[in-house]
Amino acid sequence: MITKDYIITAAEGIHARPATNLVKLTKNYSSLISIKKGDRTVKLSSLMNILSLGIKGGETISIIIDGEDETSAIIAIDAFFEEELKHL
Amino acid sequence: MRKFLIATHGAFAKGIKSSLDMIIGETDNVFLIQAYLDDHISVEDELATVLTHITADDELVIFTDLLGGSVNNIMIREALKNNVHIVSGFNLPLLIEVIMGDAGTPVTEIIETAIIDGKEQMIYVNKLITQQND
Repeated sequence: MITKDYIITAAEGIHARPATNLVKLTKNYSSLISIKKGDRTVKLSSLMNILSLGIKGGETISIIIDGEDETSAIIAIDAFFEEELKHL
Repeated sequence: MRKFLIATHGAFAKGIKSSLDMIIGETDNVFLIQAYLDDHISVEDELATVLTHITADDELVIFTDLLGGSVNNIMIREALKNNVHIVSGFNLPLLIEVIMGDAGTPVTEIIETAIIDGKEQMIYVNKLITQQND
């Protein structure tokens, strides 16, 4: 299992379009991927789950990946939070 | 294959498809019926055209705007069978959850979860903000 924290650098936080990209990214991996904010953890496979967390710019979230392809999944997640999110 | 039909009174179907495309990108296998916009085409005829694209191996999820409305009634009368699922009173969150649903998860499970999620998105925001500030 891999757990990694990210600070949301995009001012608008995780709104509908970035959340959609996260859901699409999740579909590429068999691992169970979850996102945690505060004491709430939800699966990344649902857009509404992600939006329900109300993640704003500057907040810290954790990504939890558990499965056979977790090592390749975390590389894609890194790329999303560290680069792609700024442009969405 | 899972396919989708958005059937509404007037241009709502086209409008919500525009929102859907903006958020999740262009999606294949989404058909639209904008009922009663053209007096020369009946809803039944439009539906019959859509159904020519649906095989026995496909699953069709139909989203209608109003339970008890004529569009929903026509879908029940003309389209409902084992591989067809009708959801009335849909909203954008519900639509997104069903269309983005995992192909390996049974459609009935996806629809039931999406209805819960769709209802949860209907919030009196002023009240929510007041509660958060208290």
